Amino acid sequence: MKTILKRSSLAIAVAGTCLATGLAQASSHREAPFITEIPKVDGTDFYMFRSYESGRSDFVTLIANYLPLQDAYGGPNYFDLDDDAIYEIHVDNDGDAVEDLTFRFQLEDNLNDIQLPVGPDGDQRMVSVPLKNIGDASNEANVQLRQTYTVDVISGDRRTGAVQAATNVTTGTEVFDKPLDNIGAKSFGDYAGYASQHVFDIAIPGCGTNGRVFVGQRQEAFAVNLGEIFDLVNTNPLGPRNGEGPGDLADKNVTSFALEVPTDCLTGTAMNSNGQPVIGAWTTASVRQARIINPAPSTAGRGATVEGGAYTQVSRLGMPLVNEVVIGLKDKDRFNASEPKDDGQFATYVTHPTLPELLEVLFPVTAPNNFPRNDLVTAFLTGVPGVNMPEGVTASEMLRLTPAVAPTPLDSQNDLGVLAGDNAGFPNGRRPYDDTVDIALRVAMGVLADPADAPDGSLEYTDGVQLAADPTSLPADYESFPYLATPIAGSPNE
Amino acid sequence: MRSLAKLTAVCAIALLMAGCFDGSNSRSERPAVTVDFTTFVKTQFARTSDDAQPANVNGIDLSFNDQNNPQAFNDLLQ
Repeated sequence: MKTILKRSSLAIAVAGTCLATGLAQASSHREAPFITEIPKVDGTDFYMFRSYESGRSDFVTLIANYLPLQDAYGGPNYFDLDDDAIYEIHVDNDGDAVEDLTFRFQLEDNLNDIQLPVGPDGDQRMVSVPLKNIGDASNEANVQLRQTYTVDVISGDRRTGAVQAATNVTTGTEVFDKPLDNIGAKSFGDYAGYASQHVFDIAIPGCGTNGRVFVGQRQEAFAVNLGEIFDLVNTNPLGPRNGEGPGDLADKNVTSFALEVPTDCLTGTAMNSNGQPVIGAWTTASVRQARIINPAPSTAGRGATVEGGAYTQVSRLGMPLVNEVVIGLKDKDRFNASEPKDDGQFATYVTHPTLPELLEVLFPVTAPNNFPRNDLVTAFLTGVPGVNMPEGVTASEMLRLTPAVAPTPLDSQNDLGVLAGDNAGFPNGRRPYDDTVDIALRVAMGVLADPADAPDGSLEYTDGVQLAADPTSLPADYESFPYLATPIAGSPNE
Repeated sequence: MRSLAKLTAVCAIALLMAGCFDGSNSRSERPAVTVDFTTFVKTQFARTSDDAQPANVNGIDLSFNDQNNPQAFNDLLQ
């Protein structure tokens, strides 16, 4: 467990930074000004779906991705997570926009100082090596720095609720190993096999059936051309759905927190109008409120920084793209620090969205004119009636899933989800294959609105990028937990 | 050596005062509370726990009195 006051600095760069208030935060890839300063806690995507791996349909999988835009060759430190932060997945199962259950992940660094004898006899010295590993990195003895983690399950309020530790069924301890990042083919003979050994059965307090957990690097599954989108949508929004190549993120990795939980351990009193349960969920990351930089880091004492104070939320993510293309620039940090129960403060961004107006300026299309945009409120803030909208729901931004819908096998999935009749997909939860950019564009332009209000709402808007045009062409990794592909290797480079 | 407890007490009072405000209203409507930044940070460290709530910084004025004092936080680095 972490010490209260950890590590530590130069003069004093107090992340005074980080003297933020008690609000939380949301994200996508570097979407808000402040989160770009602390990428290790930058949430990029959040997925939740009824498990479609064979034999696992009684489970729900939740995946929170962090640390965006990882270039696989980023050695020697690669992309360890922040061991001073907490990464959380929150579940609202009574529809009141307040968490009822939280899974809290905390990382810990494990340093194994590896030294080599250097020098001739009589003047030989043991000297620490600069690399992360020497020799086969799948052998722990050859690794200098690795990370482990714990998972706490909190009932009620995320800070004051009852905390119980989950258990690694394999070891009987509360500690789980995180695999090293995919350094390359010389360090790992079989990275996929090595990573698969870090999928653990997890005993979740209060849950009669074990789940599964994996925390580690994966290949980015979010298909988008960030460059074109943010260059005033420098693409043809009515072109072929895969006409713009594989996307800017296709050669990037991320780090995933993947958790598979028995469905009946997640559901509560929230029910749709058909009496079917609805689960709401989102992810956040929080750091200590204050940080001091140590002017003299020591391996024996304090490290490069010392953190203290209350955990303060700096990243929040439920539905995709919200803070990226819905929330105004001036409020993005505020959104990342906010909680769903307070989302009324951002309602105007949904009821009177700017994205359709921008598209109308940039392209010969007409934005919907039904204000307030209740069609967007339904899609993003309440859920779809009869599907994933709980009766009496408190409008708020989170991913909502009714697990009553049978999962669609990967090969049969439609990446336009509910819009295309695949009700096991977005916005009824979200699967890695779902093309949420195309869906969001179409919904924003009024596909769910009255055609009289949205004359161009039926156009097939697209950013021209798909994870795959045909799901049968996806790697087998997408068919089973943790449902994301083996990360790109740092070497050899093509 | 300065007493951390004393600092904590002083800052706690300031924070209690600051806590009377939610930071959402204009500052002209409320009295400003000036808190030494170094003291404020040390107060935050003193209240480190997993169930603590972050301190509001919107309702207080911070004074930066140790901008040229590289030893100001040494006691937190021990």
